[in-house]
Amino acid sequence: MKTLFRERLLDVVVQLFGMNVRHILPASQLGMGGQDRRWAEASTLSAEANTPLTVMARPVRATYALAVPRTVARTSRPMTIEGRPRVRTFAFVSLILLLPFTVRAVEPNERLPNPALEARARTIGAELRCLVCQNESIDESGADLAHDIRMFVRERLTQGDTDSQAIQAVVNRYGAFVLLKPPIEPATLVLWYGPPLLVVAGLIGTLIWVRRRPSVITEAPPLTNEEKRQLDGLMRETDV
Amino acid sequence: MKRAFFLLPLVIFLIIVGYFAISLRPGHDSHELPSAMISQPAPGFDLAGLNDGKPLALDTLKGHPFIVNFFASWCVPCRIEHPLLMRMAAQNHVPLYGIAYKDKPEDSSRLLANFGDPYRQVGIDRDGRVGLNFGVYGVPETYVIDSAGIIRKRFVGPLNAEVVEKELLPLLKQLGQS
Repeated sequence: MKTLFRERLLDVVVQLFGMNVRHILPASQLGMGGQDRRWAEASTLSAEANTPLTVMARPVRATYALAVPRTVARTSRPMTIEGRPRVRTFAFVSLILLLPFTVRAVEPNERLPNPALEARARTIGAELRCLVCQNESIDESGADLAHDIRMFVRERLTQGDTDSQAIQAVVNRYGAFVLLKPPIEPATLVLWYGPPLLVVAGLIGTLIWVRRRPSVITEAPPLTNEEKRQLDGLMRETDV
Repeated sequence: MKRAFFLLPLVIFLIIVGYFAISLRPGHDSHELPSAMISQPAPGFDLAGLNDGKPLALDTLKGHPFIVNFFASWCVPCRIEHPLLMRMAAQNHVPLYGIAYKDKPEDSSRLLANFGDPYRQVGIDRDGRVGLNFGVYGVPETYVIDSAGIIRKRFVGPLNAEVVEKELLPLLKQLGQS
């Protein structure tokens, strides 16, 4: 299972980076039966380590030939364990690269010297909408206005505002629309409770429908003499 | 009763159609945000004047309804509305005050020297803080403020002749009379 997951992960990595990044894994960790995979010949990761490893390459032979020296590429040797730590590091790094990092636009010179205040500012920043981009938080947005609001929030916090006071100060200026999570108020009731209500209505509807449906299991009427005769005939045929 | 139940999807569909009809009607920009500052006192400001002019302060403007226009030399839509602002100032004698939003003073000056200066006074909002206090999220934005300093109306984006004739001037007239 674990191996399979790794394989899948590496597939993705290969799809993303192609031959620019060569993914090197011990053969023992790779499933060799996959139809859509082509395993290149064994290779060495580096000369000084001298650890034979399998190179997994995209099915582009020409590129591969360019990327790996011919002599090395043609050497085929069985797997050894020595390659593993490096391989693991490499796989780990690839994995990290795959993580969907949220891009932060908060610039170094914006940060407050006090880490606690800065952490609070980040929490607030993630909740406020950038009005220029409208679907990004001010922490994610590179817009000028987002920068201004980030600075404004930090200024308020430095002056001793609580989190809610600082948020309220922004809301006073830009309206509740700046909140990425809209407040529960009459105008947003449908927004908040509409979907759960629909689910409940659907469940009730299904329940009524199921209840009303005529019961499937009903007493079958006894066989008529004619039917019994036919059945007996059939039974005799199959007995042969 | 049972028949009415089957009409329910149709009713829901019509409600959705109605909703889209309202938000997609012509002349309505669904990206335009309502201002939270309507009917609120305008945030106080005291800005340095452009070209060593008098400082632009809210307190000195109160007493008559007036218009504040946020503009910048780097703002393309501002150029679109500029001729209209010139006409408003010349023909209608609209009390128009400018705030140069996040703009270098020399650039603002050059803009007004090249295209004409429709403003009675211009204040420099170099870091955009006054704009932020007003809830400005892009330039140009135009605010109508009454004699008590209450924001009555905000126009987002470049003004056009129709909006000025039908909304801005009548509102200003009405505020002047009351």
